[in-house]
Amino acid sequence: MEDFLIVNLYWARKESAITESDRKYGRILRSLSFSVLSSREDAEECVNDTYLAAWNAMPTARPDYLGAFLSKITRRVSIDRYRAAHRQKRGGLGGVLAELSECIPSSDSVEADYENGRLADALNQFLASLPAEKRAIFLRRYFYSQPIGEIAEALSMREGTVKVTLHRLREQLRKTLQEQELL
Amino acid sequence: MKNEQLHNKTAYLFDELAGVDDRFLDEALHFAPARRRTAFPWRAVGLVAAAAASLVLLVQGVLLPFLERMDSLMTPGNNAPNAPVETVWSLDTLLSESTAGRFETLSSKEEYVFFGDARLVWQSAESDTLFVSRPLTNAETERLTKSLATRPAESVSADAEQPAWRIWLVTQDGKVITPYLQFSYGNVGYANLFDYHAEVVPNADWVSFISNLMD
Repeated sequence: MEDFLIVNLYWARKESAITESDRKYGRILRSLSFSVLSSREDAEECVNDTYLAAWNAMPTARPDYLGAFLSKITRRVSIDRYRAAHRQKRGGLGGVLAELSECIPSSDSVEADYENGRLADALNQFLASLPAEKRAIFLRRYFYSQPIGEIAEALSMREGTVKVTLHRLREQLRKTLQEQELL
Repeated sequence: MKNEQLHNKTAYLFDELAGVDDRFLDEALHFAPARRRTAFPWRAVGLVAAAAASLVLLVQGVLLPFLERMDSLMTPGNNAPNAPVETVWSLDTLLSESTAGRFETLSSKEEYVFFGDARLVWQSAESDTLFVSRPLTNAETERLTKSLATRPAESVSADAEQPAWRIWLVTQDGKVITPYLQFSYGNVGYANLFDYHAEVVPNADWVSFISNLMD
């Protein structure tokens, strides 16, 4: 079912909106949450919380991209639960954060100057400069927290190629953040 | 930068990814690769020719003089600067010959790689198989890391071609060192081969070491 039709169901307060959302995006949302939390039970709860949040958000909200809309909620809920539980497992979120730390330019400054909005803008500009395939690899890994093997399979690439691409993209992002004096 | 500061900044960067444009997220979710071209690979042929030309220059300019010098040092009484070198090795030649069933292999599907001793690990871009050397001695490990320390890190363009071979040095405590002496983050206690600098510049010391390893 097309996204706009599912959104219409939310607006019409039809419970089938949840069913259709789960049918189309449930696997991705559970996979995203599991990548963060490493627990199927917790991931299931986060996905249920996502549908509740989506139900409460619509009407008023009318997202053009339902998958992205739901994914952002799931990600937020999962990260909050992860931090609340103080989990530091290897792989999953720990592994993704370890990779992303390479994108932080070295700096001796003690106080960080976090400028709200600028970093998000810089990220979007960085992503816009990439070919679609590389953008997909980057976001699947660092937004959706997908394992490298899964990315390779989805994009019909070798795992080694995905790893090389991710490494180069992190380096490119690090330079971008450095040039714009962010982080 | 202190670890806590780095961690906080990393976490902030991770959080800010939530501000990514929904179009990009939707595209990433539904992206399907275009059919790989099956036409005659003229570009690949051109790249191979260019690589071969570069290798010839490298061999002539760096390896030959180095091997001549090594040969003169290792052969008692033979200190003639122009003593003939019987074998010329290139990194690609060495590593391709390493696939002749002489080395332990691993599947790259293994998430963690930890040997308990220092090893050299390499992989062809054409295969998922990882080749593993015998355990390295402390002297060998030190020699490799020192030779790496003399070369500053070089960034690789995102558009650069994929390397033919990837090489890692795995230390005894599980740290993974790329040819640019960059530790892979989060790998203390185990070796994870997900991170490395792609291109291996075949400096003479590395080539010489690998040559000795394979003898």
